[in-house]
Amino acid sequence: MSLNKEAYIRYKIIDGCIRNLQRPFPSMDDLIATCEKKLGKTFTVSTIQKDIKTMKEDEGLGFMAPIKFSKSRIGYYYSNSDFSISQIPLQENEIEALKSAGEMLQVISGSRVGQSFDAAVSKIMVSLREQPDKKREGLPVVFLEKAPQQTGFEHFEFLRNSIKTQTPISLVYYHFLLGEFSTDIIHPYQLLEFSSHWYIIGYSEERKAMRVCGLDRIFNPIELKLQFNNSKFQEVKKYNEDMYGVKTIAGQKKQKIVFAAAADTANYLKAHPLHHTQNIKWHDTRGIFAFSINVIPTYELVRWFFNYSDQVKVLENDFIFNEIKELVNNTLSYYKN
Amino acid sequence: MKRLLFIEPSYITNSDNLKLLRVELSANYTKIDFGYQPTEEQKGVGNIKIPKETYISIVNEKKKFKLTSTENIAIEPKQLNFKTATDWLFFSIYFEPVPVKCCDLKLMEKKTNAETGFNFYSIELDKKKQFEIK
Repeated sequence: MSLNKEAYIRYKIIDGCIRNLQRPFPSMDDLIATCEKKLGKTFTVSTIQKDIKTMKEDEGLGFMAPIKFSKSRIGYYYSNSDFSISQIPLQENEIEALKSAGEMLQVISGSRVGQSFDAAVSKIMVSLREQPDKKREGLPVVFLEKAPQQTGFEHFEFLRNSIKTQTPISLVYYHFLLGEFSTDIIHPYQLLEFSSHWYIIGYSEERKAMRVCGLDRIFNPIELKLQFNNSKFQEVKKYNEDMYGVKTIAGQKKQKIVFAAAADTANYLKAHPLHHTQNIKWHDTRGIFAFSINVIPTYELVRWFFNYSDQVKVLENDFIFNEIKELVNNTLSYYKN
Repeated sequence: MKRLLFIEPSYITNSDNLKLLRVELSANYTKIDFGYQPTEEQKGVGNIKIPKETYISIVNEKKKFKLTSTENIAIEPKQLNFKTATDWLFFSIYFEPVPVKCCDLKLMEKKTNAETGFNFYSIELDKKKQFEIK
């Protein structure tokens, strides 16, 4: 079933017409005229008939509206006069809270998750928002970053379903650095977002270990009839807890990193800790703070230290120190001459 | 009817850029997934297309299974022109269904013994690399 926001609005309009005590038993012409008036476009009898059928019978939608047609009154009515598709027994403050959450969901749904989620959000929004706030001229109260949709995102719902049903998948992978295609069978555990990029984590039959694949690098996942291997579930839980970033660096285990940050970056880090293990080690009167974190190093963490290398200095951790030193030296060499 | 997937079957080809990744056998079609990947020495910017006469056949059998459709690759006379020497492409080619069983296939572009393009010999659909699709 293809659901869109306009269809939900028509259901609301039809529901309102049927429940209108001032003009009971609306005819098909009445329903069409009201929809056209409220939505500013024309509709056919077939569209409204399909809407009524969907409202009555579509189990996915869940209204199961008891709509009947009265031959004597030549119009539609609910056999249960108390019925309404928008009957939500909530307090006003609860509805307001849901409206706020719904607005955020709507922003997220547009860029990050799939069609069925979009449809669900539209359904919630139509149920909650009787009137759009014309005073704000469409300016949202909450604005979240909308990253452009990455390639491979079309697999999101497929992969989410494979995770839920614990179904191994065959996938094709393109390695950006090596410039090579390969295949793998992944037992998918989790979809993970980091810095607006989506990844799938699972057990790799090729590597006999946990593997993280960017959705932008995988092609044509196919579900296989294979026994699901969940032997790395606990490893993924630790992975979630012990890392800043996604891509681990071979041979690196969880370790302490101590670094000093200049005053403005220190303020930022106090407000937005890099990791839940972040602690303040010391500070001086100029506002310089030293922090420690206890993490498994990742490429993203190295990149973070490099990005802030004019503000942050690694004090304790030879591995990160040397990585940053090398990156800084490489950068300097590009700018010589 | 079972749908079978053969992952990275062994094969023989003269193509430097094309990697045959998977073969899918079903009652309705045979699908072959390819990756076009640049070689280290590659300097020129190429293009890619598939001749419509391309077919597959079972080794030592005469019957040809014709190309029926493609995904993400043009059929001649159309072609995709790459923009850089490092461009890459994942694509799939569909053929008439071959019997769903283990066998060796060959995929031919036009002429036999051609040394370039879509010529893959002895594509071994080995039971060890066979998986049933859900």
